[in-house]
Amino acid sequence: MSQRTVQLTRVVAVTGVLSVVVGCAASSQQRAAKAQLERAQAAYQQAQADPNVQAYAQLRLGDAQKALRAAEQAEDSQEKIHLGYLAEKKALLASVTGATSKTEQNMEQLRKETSDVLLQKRDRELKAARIETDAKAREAEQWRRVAEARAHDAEAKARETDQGRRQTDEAEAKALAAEHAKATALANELASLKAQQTDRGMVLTVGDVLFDPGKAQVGPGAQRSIDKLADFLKTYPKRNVVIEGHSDNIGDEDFNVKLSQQRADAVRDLLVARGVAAQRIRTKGYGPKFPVVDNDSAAGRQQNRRVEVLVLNEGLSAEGATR
Amino acid sequence: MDDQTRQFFRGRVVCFALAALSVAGCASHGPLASAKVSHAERAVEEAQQVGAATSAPVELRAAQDKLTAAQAAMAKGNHDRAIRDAEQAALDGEYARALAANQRANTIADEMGQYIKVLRQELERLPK
Repeated sequence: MSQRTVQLTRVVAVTGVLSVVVGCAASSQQRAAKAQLERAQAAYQQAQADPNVQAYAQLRLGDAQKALRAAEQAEDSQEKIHLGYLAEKKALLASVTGATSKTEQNMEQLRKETSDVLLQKRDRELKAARIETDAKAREAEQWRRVAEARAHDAEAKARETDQGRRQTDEAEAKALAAEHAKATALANELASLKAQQTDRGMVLTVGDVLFDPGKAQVGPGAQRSIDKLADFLKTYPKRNVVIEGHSDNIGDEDFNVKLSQQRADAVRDLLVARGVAAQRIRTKGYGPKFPVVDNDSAAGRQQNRRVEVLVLNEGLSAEGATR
Repeated sequence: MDDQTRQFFRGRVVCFALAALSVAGCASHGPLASAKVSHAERAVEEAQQVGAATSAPVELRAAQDKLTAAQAAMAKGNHDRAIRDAEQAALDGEYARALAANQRANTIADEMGQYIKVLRQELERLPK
């Protein structure tokens, strides 16, 4: 009996120790299970609050929820820890899946945007290429225009030159014509003055410039002839004149020379009075030395009482232009 | 049969029943554990294939460790342990794989963002 009691006591003691050990183990396991469950709950709550999970990972979230319920309902601590771990991982998985899905959604958006931008870019590149082509074409066109303008200019210049030449020609022709007309006019005028071309120039006997015997006074009938002569000299300002006075052979030679000189001077004075520069005129009295006709008759003597105007060729000085 | 003998037999019956139960348990948990371990193996493999070794090394390590434990438990015939370890390993592998996929997506999205930024800059330089 006593042996049995000892055995019993032993059994009780062992059981007690065991129960304490098991109890301690159980309580630590319970704490671990509780902690694991809390982690799972926290992870689940985070996943549930995540809009990405709500939007893209509903199934995963449902999975996590079921796992969490199972963990919560597990009696055994070890089972609780295990199910709690699974629930936590499922909640985390839901979160990551939600995030990934969101990113994939963004990627889809980015892909659309990319193709959009690529399209726009291609459009603009085409446009730019077109603009460049246009610009090149415009440039080419400009160059073409410049070349054309240059050619046109050259042509115009050539034409101008031509025209200028023609104008010059015309002017020259005009000048020539004018000269010709002038010459003709001169000839006419000189003809009207009864001019005779001699090697010294034109000698004109001023018609109607006749003098009374022994007188140096120019008669009134000679005024027209003097006017004409003055006009002529003014028209041809480069021509100088020598006025030669002549007489008939009646009377003393010296007197006649002096008289003829006075006659020439009288004509000169009339010309100067009409605006002909005095230095263009030289006078000389020759007396009866150069009669044009015989002095036999009164009419002849009348013709010899004369003044001859020698219109010198252009540029010749009146000085020394004497016979 | 006296009481003692009857009790002995009763105890034996209980023992047998328990043993039978436990054997039955083993027998029914064996294929399940095996399937769970296979599933975990696949999960770890897939995680490795998407580059979890670099993008989620901690999670992949945990999955591999638990898979090893599950395989060891399986070898020892501890099917319950094998099932639990395999379940955790499978989820860890799946999580590692999800993390890797997430990181990959983020990287690609960032690159796309950069690309589009460059494109937009190029676009701005072109005449409208």
